[in-house]
Amino acid sequence: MKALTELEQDALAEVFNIGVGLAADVLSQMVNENVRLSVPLVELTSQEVASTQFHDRENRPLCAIRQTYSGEVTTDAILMFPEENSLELVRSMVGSDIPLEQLTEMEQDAMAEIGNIILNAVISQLSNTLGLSFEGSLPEVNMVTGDTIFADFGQAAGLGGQASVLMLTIDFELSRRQVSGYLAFLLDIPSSEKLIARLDRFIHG
Amino acid sequence: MEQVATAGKLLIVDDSKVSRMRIRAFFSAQCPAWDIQEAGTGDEAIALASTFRPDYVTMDVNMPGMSGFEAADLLLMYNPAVRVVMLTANIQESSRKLAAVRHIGFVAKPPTEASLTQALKFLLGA
Repeated sequence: MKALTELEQDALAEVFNIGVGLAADVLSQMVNENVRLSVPLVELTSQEVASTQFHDRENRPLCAIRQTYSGEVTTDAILMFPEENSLELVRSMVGSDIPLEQLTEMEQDAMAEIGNIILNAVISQLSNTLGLSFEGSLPEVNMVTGDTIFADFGQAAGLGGQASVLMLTIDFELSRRQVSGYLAFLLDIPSSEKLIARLDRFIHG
Repeated sequence: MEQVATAGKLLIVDDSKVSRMRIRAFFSAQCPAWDIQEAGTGDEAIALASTFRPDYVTMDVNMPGMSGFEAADLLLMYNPAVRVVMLTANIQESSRKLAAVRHIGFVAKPPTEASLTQALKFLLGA
């Protein structure tokens, strides 16, 4: 796997930074409160290293929303929230006057839609900036843990253990609710190389 | 925006129940005389449209089965006068272009008061 140059790393962070900014704006509109963002940390690494690093950072059960985006570059985009926060997120989205029973019923649907909107915001920004076109799958919602997430999703996407992980770690926090989340993108080696080639074209005009 | 007093029929097409709920709540408040029905897929929308005959449609893009653009094409083929607005998270330039060549509306999700007002204005030709 080709390592990113400093300039490529910087450009990728910037492209995702804009995409995540857009996603944060979208999330803020959905839940009606400010969303604080950390600076995105972009790493192109192996699934194994990503799993270890991620588990060190987050070991709570997670609600993960995954969508596969296919095209010249194919990627599995994953949005993760601690499972304990998901009902709270749904409540902020649909309003507090919905009874708990009904809220629980629509939790899966609402999480899928939150993922769909946020992941599409980031991917669309990537598409528009790098001139790539993507076809998105429908969102899938799963409960996972930090130590298995990349292996599980890599396997589900037929990537085996060899896939690169473009790990975009961003902590976003809904200030009033103490909800944080993470984003990650899994790419196989050919897709990583194509992404880097597009990035080089973007850097050098 | 002032309430719309005239009657009309709106079909909301979205595979997300939560989104349908939010879209319905907005249009029910803003257009109290409108008859509103919902479909969870493009196929359901086509089946429902033959009896419901909507004047207005809000359409998601990524849904199980046919895409929102395919469904919009069929609805427009059956009734070229129907006003369709795509209401979608897929805000890639390529999606915007697909809407533009069809002369249909394009509004980015999430369904908020601002985005739905934009959709309503398009539907009314305002």
